[in-house]
Amino acid sequence: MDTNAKRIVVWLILIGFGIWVLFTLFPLYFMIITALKPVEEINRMVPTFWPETFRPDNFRGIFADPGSLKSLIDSVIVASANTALSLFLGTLAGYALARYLTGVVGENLAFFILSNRMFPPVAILIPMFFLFDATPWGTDSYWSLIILYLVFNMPLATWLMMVFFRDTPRELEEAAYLDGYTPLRAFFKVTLPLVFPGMVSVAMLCWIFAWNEYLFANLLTGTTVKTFPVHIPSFAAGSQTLWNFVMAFSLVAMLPPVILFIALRRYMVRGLSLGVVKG
Amino acid sequence: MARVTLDRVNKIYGYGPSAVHAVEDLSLEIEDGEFAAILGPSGCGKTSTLRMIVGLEEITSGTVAFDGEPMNARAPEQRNVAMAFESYALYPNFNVAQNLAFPLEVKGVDASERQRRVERIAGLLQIGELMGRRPRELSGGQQQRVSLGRALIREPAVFILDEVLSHLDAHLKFQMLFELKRIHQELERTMVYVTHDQMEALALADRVAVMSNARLQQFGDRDALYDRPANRFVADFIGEPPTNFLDATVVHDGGAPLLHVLGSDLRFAVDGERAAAIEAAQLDRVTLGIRPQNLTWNTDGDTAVVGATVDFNEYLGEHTILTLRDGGALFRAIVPPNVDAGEGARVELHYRTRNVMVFHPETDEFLG
Amino acid sequence: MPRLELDAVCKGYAHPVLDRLSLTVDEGEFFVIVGPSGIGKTTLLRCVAGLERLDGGRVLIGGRDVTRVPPYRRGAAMTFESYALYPHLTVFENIASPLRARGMPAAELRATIEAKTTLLRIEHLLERKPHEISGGQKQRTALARTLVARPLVFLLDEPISHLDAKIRHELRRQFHTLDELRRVATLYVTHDYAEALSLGDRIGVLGHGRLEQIGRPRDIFERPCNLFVAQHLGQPTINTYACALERQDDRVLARLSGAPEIRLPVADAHRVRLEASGLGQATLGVRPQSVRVDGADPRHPLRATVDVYEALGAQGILLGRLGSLPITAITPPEARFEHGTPVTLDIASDELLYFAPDDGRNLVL
Repeated sequence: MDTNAKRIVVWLILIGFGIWVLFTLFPLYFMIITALKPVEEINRMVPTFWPETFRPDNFRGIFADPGSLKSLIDSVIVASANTALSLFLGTLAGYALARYLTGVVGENLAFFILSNRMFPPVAILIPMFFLFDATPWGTDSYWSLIILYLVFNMPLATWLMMVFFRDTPRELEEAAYLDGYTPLRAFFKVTLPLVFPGMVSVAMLCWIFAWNEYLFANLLTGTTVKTFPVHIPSFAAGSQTLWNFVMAFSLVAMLPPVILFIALRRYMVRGLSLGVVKG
Repeated sequence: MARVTLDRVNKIYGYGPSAVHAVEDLSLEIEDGEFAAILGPSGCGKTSTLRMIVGLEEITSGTVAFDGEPMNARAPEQRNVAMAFESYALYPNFNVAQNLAFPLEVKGVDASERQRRVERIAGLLQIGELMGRRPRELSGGQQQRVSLGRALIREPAVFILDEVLSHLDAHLKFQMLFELKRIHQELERTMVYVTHDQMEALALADRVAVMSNARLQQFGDRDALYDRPANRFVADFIGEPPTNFLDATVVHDGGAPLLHVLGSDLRFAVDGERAAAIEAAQLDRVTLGIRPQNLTWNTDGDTAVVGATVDFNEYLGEHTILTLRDGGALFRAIVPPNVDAGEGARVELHYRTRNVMVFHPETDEFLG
Repeated sequence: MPRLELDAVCKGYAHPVLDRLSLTVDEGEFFVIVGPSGIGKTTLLRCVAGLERLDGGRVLIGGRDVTRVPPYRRGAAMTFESYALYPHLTVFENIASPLRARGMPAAELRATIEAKTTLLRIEHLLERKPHEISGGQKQRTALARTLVARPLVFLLDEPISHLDAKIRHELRRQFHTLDELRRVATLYVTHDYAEALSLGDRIGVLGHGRLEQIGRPRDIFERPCNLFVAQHLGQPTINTYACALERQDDRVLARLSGAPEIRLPVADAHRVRLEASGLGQATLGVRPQSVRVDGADPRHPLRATVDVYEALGAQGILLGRLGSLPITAITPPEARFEHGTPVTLDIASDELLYFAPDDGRNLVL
C-alpha cells in the first residue's frame, strides 16, 4: 500500500472512532449537565446543552432523603456479600471442573452450569417471589437478594474460574506436590496466586451485576431493604419527575464501580490475558 | 530461477534514540540455483533479512534485486518467491491434495494443470499415498512435507525456508535434511534456508551466511567456515562440540614461534603461514583455536603432539568426547569410541599444525 | 538404603503404556531410560513420583512400598520437561519451595540455596522471575529446586534436551560431578541416545511398554539385544537389510535379499552362534560408522553410487546406493563426494549385527 492510501485509511478509522465516541459519551454528558440544572430549565421544550444556571446543590439535595444513603449502603451490602459468595463457590466449583471432572461428564456439567445464564431472567421472576416468600426471612431481606443473585453470578464465576484454572499448567501443582506440599497447601501456594488476577476480574463482573440489578430487587424488596436502583423512582413526586435529582443520584451511584475499576484495572488486564502465563 | 542480490541493505525499526538497527550494511549475492543458508543466533537479524527478501518488511535502505532487477517496491505476491514456515499452517478442513492445490487455485490455474502439478510435487516429496488424508491424520514429518509441497507448487524463482526443521525430533530432522537436499538437487532452484542450527545449515547449504549483531560475519562454504573463519564468533558458532579457545603467549624457541597456553604446560606449534601472520601482527599474546575433531587419537604421519590429563570421558556410541585438562586449561577432543582412557589418565593427542587457528586477542579477528 | 525398585509396574489396559515393567536402581546409581518420543518415558517417571496411579505392580523407595503413598510423602524430587517453575515466585523462592514445605529455618535455607546456586552459576538471578531468565537458566533453576530437596530419589525428565549444544555439553559434565546425585538413586529420562550413553551408569531402552534392554552404555550400543534397540541408538540410523545366511566352503556368507549379487562374509566371532541358530533368514544390521568409503575401484566387490553427501562438523554423511539398496555411511570430515559418482565400500565384518527376521532378537548374543 502506498502512503496516500494509508493516510485515507487512517482518516476513515479516526472518523469512525469519533462517531463511536459521540454515541457513547453524549448520554453521559447529558446526564452530568442535567444533574447540574434546576428543574425549570430541564422541563423547557428546547433543551439547553450547557446549564444556564448551575445548581450543584442538587447533589446535597438528594441526601435530604435519608433513604438515599441507606439505599447505597444496602446496595454495597448486597453486592459485596453476593460477590464474596459467588467467588468462593465459583472458585471451588471451577477448580473441581477444571481438574477433576474432565471428559464428557465435566464438559456437559460445565455447559449446564453456564446455560443457567441463558434463559430470560423474567421467566423465573414469579416462581422466585413465591420461593423466597416461603423462607423464614421472607422476600424483603438481604439474604433473599444475596442468594437470588447467585443464580446469575455463580454460573459466570464458575465458568470463568474453570477457564482460568485450565489455563494454569497442572504440572505446577504437581511440582508443588513433589516439593512436599499437600494438595490443599499447593492450591494456596501455587494455583491461587496464579488465578488471582482472574479472580479480581470475576469479582468485578459479579459486583457490577449485583450493584445494577433492578428487576428482582424491585419485586422482592422495597421496604426493609431497598437497593439504589429501587430507590431512584422515589425522586418522582406525583406527576413530576425531579430529573435533576435522578441524574445526580445516578451519578453518585456510578462512582463506586468506576473507582473500583480504576483501582483494580491492573488485575483486570492481567486477568483477561491470563492464558499467556506459562512456565 | 533467479540470482538474489542484496546490496548494502539496512533495516532500522523505530525512530530516534529507541531505533533498533536490525540489519546493518548487508551485501550478499546468492547465485542462481544455489542453496544458501542464513545462520545466526536469535536476534542476529536473519529473520528481518529474510522478510525483506520476501517483501514482508520494508527495506530501510539498500537494494534487494532478483536477477539484477530491484524488488524494493514490489509486493510479496509480485516477487515470485515462496516461503515455508516453521509452523506447518495447513488448512485443517482440506485434505492433502486440496492443501497442495490451494495456492494454484488462488492464482486461477486451471484444473488439469493443477492436477498435473500436484502429482509432480507429490512424487517429489513422496507423499502420493497421503493425498486423501486430512492434516490431523498425518505425522509431524508428513505435515512438514505437505507444507513444503504447498510452497514448492507455485514453482517460485526463489524458495525460502524459515526454520522448517527446528521442532522435528532428531531422527526425523535427519531424514528431512537429506530430503531437502535431494529436492534441491532435483529442482535446481535458488533456495534460502534460515536457521539458528549450524548443523542444519552446513548439511544443506552450498554456502552459509553467518550473521551476528545485525552484521554479516562471513559468507562461505563449509571449508571456509571451518578452516578460515573470519573471526572468533564464527569459529565458536560453527562446529559441535565448539572450538577450543585458549589464551596463549607467543614464545620464540629458536626459529618458529610456539604458542604457550597460559596457566598450563601446553605448547602448540603453528605452520609457516600462521607464524608469518603472527610476526606481521607483532603480537606477543594471541587466542589460539583448535577444533575438537582436529585433535586426533591416532597419528597418520605429519602431526604434532600435545599431552594432557583426561578430566571426563564421554562415550557417545559413534565416537567419544574427551574433556582434557592441563593446569588451568580445559579443552575437548573427539576420539574413536573404543578409547577408554578414564578420568586422570595421561594421554597424547595429535594435530596438524595447519589446523591451529590464531585470533587477535582483542579484536577476535582471524589472523591465520 | 535409598534404592528404587519397580516391580511389574503396569499402566493402561487395552494398549498398556507400561507392561509389567521391573527395574532396580541402586543407591548412587545414575540410571538413564532412553526411548523414542511418545513411548511412555514420562509416564514411567510420573508413576514413580506418584502423579499417576498404577494399574498394577509396586513401587518401592528405600525398601518401603510407596505404591499407595501420595507424591508429597514419597521423598522423590522431579524436574519436569517444561521446568514447571512457579511464574509468580522469584528464582530464590522457587528453589526454596521444597525447603519451605518442610519448614526449614530462614538462615539455613538461605545458606543451602546459596551453596547450590553458586554451583549451578545462577546465584546472580535469585531475585528475578522465571519469565526474565533464559531457557538454560530456567533449567538450572529447576535442577537447583530438585537438588536442595535432598530426596531419596531423583527423577529427571529430559532436563537438558531443549538447550543449545554448548550448554548441553557443560551440563552433561556437571551431572557427573554433582554429589547429590551420586548419593541417591537417579532415574533420568531422555530421547537422545548420545545423552544416555554419556550420562548413564546403566541404560534401559524403553519400547513397547517394557525395558527392551538394560546394560552399560557400551554394551547397549555395541551389543543391542534386538533390532528395536539397534535402531533407536545411533545417528544416522543403522542400515538394515534382509539377508540369507549361507554356508560356502568353510565360510558363512550373508547374501542380501534385495541384491543377491552382494555377499558379505560373516566374522568368525559371530559364526558359531549363527550356525547354532541354524543360519537361514536374518536381518543384517550395518552401523554407518562400520562402512568405510573409498574412491572408485572397478575390481572391488562392494561398489556403490553417491546419492547425497553432507559434510558436517566432526564427520561427513554419505547416502548411497548399493545396487538397489540404500546405504548410509559416516566418513571422515575432510572427505568429499559428488552426487552420482561411484565409490567402493569396506564393511567391518566384526561390527555387523544379525537379528532374527521374526522377533528381531540379536542372533549373536
